[in-house]
Amino acid sequence: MRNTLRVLRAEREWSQADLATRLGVSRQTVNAVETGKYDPSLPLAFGIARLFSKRIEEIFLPDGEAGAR
Amino acid sequence: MIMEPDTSDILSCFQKRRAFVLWAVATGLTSAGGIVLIVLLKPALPIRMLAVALPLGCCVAFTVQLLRDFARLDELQVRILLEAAATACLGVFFAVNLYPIFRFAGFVGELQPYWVLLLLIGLFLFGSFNAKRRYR
Repeated sequence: MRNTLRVLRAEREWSQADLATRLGVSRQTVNAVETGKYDPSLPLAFGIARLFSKRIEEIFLPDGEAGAR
Repeated sequence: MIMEPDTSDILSCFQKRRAFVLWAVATGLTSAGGIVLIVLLKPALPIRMLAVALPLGCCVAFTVQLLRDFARLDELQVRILLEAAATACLGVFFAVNLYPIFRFAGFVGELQPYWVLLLLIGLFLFGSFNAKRRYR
């Protein structure tokens, strides 16, 4: 699954550590989600969507789908 | 009780919290001390019971502390620990199952409990480092 997390984070000029603190997870988790190595759970995905005031499907896209990044 | 999640580096919560290490050391010390006491002094039954109860209590405290620390991990950290635990359990499972054939073939000697313990710890560390590297 791809995502636009890195772009959204960069727009707000947050570091991975900043985002991790806001989400209540480790920086490694943010990094793993950003690089697509780890797909977040639904609660975390909802937390990310809420933080960026977007819908989940605007941030996370299936691998074959165009538009992400 | 709701605990705040640990937001630091993966597995670093264990580096920050020393309580479970102290309980592990206490378990080892009381266990070794108990063996020495029982073997050398051959004490009365109440003392023997105490010598057995002390390491058992430390072991329970160690487990409780470790589980409390687990509850503070975030989902990726839990996943890494689960993968490490699965590696350790499967490794020991196969080792124990394959042991008889190795024994009959004369490749290994009598199985000692500490070998199983070392194998468990080694496989757990291997599994955690491997999973951590994969999600880096």
